Amino acid sequence: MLTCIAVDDEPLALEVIKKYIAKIYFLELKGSFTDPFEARQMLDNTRIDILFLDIQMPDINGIEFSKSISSKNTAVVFTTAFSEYAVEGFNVDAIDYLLKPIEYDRFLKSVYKAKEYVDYLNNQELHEGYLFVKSDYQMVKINLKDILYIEGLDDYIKIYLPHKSVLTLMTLKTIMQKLPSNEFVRVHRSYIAPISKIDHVSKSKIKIGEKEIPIGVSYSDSFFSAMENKLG
Amino acid sequence: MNKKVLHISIHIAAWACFLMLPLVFFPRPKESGYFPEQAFNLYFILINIFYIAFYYFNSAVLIPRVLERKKTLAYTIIILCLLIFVGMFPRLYQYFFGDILKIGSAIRSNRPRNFRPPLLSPGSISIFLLVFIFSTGIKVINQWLQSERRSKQIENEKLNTELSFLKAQINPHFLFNTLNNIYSLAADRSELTAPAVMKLSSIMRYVLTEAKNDLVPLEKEIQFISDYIELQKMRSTNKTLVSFTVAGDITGKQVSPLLFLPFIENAFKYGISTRELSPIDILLETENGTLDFRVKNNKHVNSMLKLSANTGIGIQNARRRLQLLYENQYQLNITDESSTYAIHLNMTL
Repeated sequence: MLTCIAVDDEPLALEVIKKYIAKIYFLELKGSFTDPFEARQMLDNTRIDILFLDIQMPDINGIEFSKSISSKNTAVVFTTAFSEYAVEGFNVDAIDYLLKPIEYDRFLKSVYKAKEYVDYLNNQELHEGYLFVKSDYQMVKINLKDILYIEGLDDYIKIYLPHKSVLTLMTLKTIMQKLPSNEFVRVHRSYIAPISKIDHVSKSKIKIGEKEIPIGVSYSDSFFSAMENKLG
Repeated sequence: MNKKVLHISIHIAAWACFLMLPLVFFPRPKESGYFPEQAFNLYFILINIFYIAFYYFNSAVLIPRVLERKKTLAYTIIILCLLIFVGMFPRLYQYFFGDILKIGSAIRSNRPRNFRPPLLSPGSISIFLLVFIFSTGIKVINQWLQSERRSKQIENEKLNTELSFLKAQINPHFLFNTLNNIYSLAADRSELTAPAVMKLSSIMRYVLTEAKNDLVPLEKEIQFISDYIELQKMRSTNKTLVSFTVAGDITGKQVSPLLFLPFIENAFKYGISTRELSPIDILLETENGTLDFRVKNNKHVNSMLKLSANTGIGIQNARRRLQLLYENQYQLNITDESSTYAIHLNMTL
C-alpha cells in the first residue's frame, strides 16, 4: 500500500481526486485538506508516499509548500487548472504535473509514475536502510533487510533478526511509519512482516521460516492487496 | 468624384482671380484704350503659364520630392534659380521678342526710346514670390492637417484597442478552475451541475458579446456580477462569506461593461483564506444619478504575491479605464490597512 494525501483549496476539486484515489487499490488516502497547514502536520507525523498538491492556493502556494517538505521520500504530484507554472513545478522535483480537470487515465498514469519512484526509494532504503532502536540503555543498529518480522507486545516491540531478537519501547504503529510501506505490511494486530521474507501464504496464516503468523481479520484486505502487487 | 470637381473648380476660380490681378495693380494710364489688347499679349501669356506651372511643380514635385526629403539646400537653390529666371524674364523677352508693349501707347511714348527693363524685374519677382507663398503655404497646411488627422486616428485606435484589452480580462484561472469544479459536480451526477453550467455560460456570453458595447444596462452588469460571485462561492470553502447587496433603483441606467469586476476579482484573489474566516462585502447603490460601489475584504498573508509579478494590475487597469471613460465623473478611494482592504467608487451615471 502507498499512503497519500491531497491538498487543494477548492473542496470540489478535492472530491475528484478523492474519488480517483478510492478507485486505485494500492493507494490509501490518509487525508484530504483545504488547509495546507493541516496537511503539513500530517506530513510531519505520518509517512506519506504521494502528495497531490494544488499550486494556486490562497494561503501558501503549492510550490512554496512542496519546497518546505522535509521528507524526500514523498513524491509530489502537482495539480493545477492553469499551466503557467509548469516549469517551476519541475524545478522542485515534482513527479508529475496534472492539469485540471484531470481525466482518470491521466491520473492513474501519474500515480504509477509516483509508485515507481516510491518503490525505487523503498528498495534502496530496504537494502541500504537501517534504523537505530533503544534497547537495554543502548542504541542498536538494525539493517532493514535483516528483519524477519516484528511482534508487538503492548508498549514494546520485538524485532526478530536471523540470529537474535531486539526488544525496544515502541508501538507497531510508530515503527510502521519508519519502514518502507511497499515492503513491510501489517499482517495482524501484533505482527508486521516484510513481504520478501514470507515463504508461504495460506488463507489464514503466513510462514516465515519456521514461524507461523496468523492473518488478522481486519488486516487481511490490505495484506492481500499488497500481496497482489507481488503476484507473479 | 464630386469632391474632385469642386477641387478643380476652386483652382480654376483662384487662377482666374490671379489673372485679373494686373487689372488692379497695373499702372493704368489716364487714356483709355490699352486694355485688353496691350495687357494680354504674348509676354503676359508666357509669364503666367510659367507661374501656373511653377505653382503645381512646386507643390507636386519640389515639396514632396525635395523639401520633405530634407534636401533643404537643393530646394533653396532651385527656388533661387527660378526666382532669378523670372526676374530676368522681361529682359530676356525683350532680347528675343522685342518690346513687351508693341502697340503704340501712352506708356510707350512716356518712356525713353532705348528703354530696357531692369536686369531683375521687381514686379515679376514679387508675383513669383506671391505664387511661391501660396503654393508652399497651401501644400504645407494641407499636409499638416492630414498628418494631424492621421495621428488623431491612430490615437483613437490605440484607445479602442486598449479599452477592449482592458475589458476582455477574464482570468483564465477562474475559467479553468470553475470548469474543474463543474467537472467534479458532473462526475458526481450532482443537481448543481446544470445551474453552474448556466451561470458560466451567461458569464462567457456577457464577456464575449455585451462587453463589446460602450454601455450596457446596469441590470445586466449586476446579473453578471451575481453570477460571477455564485461561481466563486462554489469554488470556495465555507470559510469564505460573501455578501452582495444591491440598493436603489437600477432600472434604465447604463454603465460601462465589466467596470466593477477587477475590484471583485481582487477581493477573491487576496481576500480569501482556507484557514481563517474570510468575509467579502460588496455593495452597489444608486441614488439620484450617482452610483456607489464598495468592496471590502480581509487581508491574509499571501504567498501568491511572490509568484505573480503583475500584482495589482487589475486595479491599475480599472483605474485607467475609469480615467478614460468617466474622466471627471468618478472618485475612487482605496483604503489599504494592515488587516483590511476596501475600495469605494463613486461615479455619476
